[in-house]
Amino acid sequence: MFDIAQNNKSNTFDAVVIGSGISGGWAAKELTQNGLKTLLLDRGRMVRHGDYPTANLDPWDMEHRGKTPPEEIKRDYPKQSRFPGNVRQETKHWFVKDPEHPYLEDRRFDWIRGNHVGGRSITWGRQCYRWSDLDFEANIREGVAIDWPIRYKDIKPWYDYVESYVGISGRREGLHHLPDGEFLKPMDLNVAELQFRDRIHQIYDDRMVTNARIANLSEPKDRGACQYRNRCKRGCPYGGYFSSVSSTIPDAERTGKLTIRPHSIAHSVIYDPNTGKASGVRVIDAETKEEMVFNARIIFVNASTLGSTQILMNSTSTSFPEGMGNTNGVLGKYLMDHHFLISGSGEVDGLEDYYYKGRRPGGTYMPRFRNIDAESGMKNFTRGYGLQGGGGRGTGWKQNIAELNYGKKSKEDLFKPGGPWRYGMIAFGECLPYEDNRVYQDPNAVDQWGIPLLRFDAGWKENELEMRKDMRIQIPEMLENAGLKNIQFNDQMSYPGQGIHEMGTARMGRNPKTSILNKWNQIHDVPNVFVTDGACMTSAGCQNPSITYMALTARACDHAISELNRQNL
Amino acid sequence: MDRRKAIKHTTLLLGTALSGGTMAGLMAGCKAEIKLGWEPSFFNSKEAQTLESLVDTILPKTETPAASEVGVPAYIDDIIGHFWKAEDQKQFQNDLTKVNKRAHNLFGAPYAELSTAEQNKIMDHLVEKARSAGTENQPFFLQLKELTYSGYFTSEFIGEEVLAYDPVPGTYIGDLPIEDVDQAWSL
Repeated sequence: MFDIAQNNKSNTFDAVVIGSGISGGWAAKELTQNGLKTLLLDRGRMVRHGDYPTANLDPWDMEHRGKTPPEEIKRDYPKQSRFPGNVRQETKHWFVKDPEHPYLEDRRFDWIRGNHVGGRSITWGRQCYRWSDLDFEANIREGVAIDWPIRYKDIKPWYDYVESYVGISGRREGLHHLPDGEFLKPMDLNVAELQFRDRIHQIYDDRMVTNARIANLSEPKDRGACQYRNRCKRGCPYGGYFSSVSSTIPDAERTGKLTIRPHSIAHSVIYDPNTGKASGVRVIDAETKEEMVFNARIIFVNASTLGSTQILMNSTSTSFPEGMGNTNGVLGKYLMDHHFLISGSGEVDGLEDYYYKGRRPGGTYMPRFRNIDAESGMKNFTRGYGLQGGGGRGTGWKQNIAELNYGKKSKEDLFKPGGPWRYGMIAFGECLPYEDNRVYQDPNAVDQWGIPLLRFDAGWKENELEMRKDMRIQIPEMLENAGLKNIQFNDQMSYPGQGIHEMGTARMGRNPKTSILNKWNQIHDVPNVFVTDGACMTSAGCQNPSITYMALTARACDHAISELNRQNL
Repeated sequence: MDRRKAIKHTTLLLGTALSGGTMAGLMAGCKAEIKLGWEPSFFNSKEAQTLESLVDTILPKTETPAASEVGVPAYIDDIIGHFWKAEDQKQFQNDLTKVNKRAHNLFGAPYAELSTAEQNKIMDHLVEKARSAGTENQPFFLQLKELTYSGYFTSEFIGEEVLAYDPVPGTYIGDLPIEDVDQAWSL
């Protein structure tokens, strides 16, 4: 059982963790397992492993067969629905209702999120790719923004550590720029993916296709193995994938050191000028609006990239009138995301004799191949993109649906596997850190708890747009070169935030004059406050970022504990 | 006894797994019971009656059920009523009315009361109109067909008893020989 912290009673902890998503769950686990009495706060409702109301529903079990009517979307989810498929019946309860949690846009920004214990670790895409020094050294090499204060060697042991716990299926490939991890056996590729992979390997010296590296268990650990239902985003009753709710939070609770307090809006972190440290967190009960303070020796801010920055901005004091640690005006700037939504697919010939069993939760990954060495250097843009892909085969009825026939004659084939296998892929590209891509507090508007609303002003620039030109050429060309037929190409604009990989706004760096956090994710000026979610990122890479947040969190926790032991905090 | 339980029980006694098709054939034997009564919430009763007959022309009863036997008309009523724009709703209703007008002109009775051959004549006309239609709007025949198929193949009976139903596969095989496959997966 968890106990809800009561106001004015047990208000003092060794540590407070704000946010229970993928990084906050890790902070709670690491801190409690090292003996710290820890309070874990979340804005939203309690969710325990197994509280997945739609996990076993088939389309016919759901209202409107799972679709959500446009009227409801317009009323409750006008912004959350900007990411396709989010607010269907089976997942809409994992996303905020926009009118209850508003934000403002100078330019369109898709802030997609859910308020509940576990956060977006329940709905995440589960793709896990390590960074390498190609990424950590990119800024300094190119003179972009500022240098990362860490290198691959600093984070490598922590990737090892978190991956062993998370359970990631993947294939070791020995790539320098996409290092191998502690993988479980890879999930098999299907016949279409294998054919595409083999042809790419025959034709291209500079690119390769590997199995998606994904936080789904290809073999049982202490959680159940993946059942190949591909209903991950509803929450998995088997524990087949990693989330805070299935993994880190239950382990934190087993220590007896954890207190979870849901419905808790972190208003601000309180600064004590006498000690030069933070003394605690000011919290508003989301339901009663009651205000309370929780004191702690260390504070981990893991409220998500923009949630954490919002809290720091609201943590004003005489010492920090512009927000905690923000003596240099960097807070809120250098906002990044991955740009995507350029994709293509085609028919793979000669596989009519094959079908499949199971609905695998991941497919293929083509690691970045641009600007990784002298030969792959591009004139028009720096950095690069990776491609997620997958193959599959349809059914007779879907194949027949647009045909001008009807009746008995064609009916029996509708129940059979139908049409050719198809393979498709979609690119995720790196976005550079720009000072004027930013989020700030609106001076006039507040939410229902009196906290100033965030206002977004960010957009892609030349480097991203030039990179997209290359995606547009490469995707159809690779599909064609691999022998695929009837290629369909999809080129949609992608808006910042829509990748749901928002990063930056409280970046790490070596110099307190140009960064908010140091190399251990501590606020330079307030060393007992750690920010270890996406807010800390100094550049964006093109890899899905969550595994890096987890590694940075475990690393920062280890540092916090040794500093506490040395009486330095 | 509940129909489905009765059949599942029989299967067990026979000690053999029936293929989806055979199973559905058995089920379809109980037509009087499987036919769903439904109350339209969007269409009026005349439109609903026409719709019910139209979807059965598209997916008639064979050894597998007809569209109207697995709730397709109610599904279409729900989707058009809750998801379509007013102008598209109106157009669809007009198209239903036109079908009946043509039925009256050619055969002197509403579509629902025509013989299969007469209904096919009218459906063939809709197909021809779709063939010559421009690309800007989806023609009525294809609207109808898409709605009928999506309602039929995502219905509980077709999903669980006719197509191959496997909510918890437990494994992934990406090169399953087609000769081992009876029906396509429903999920």
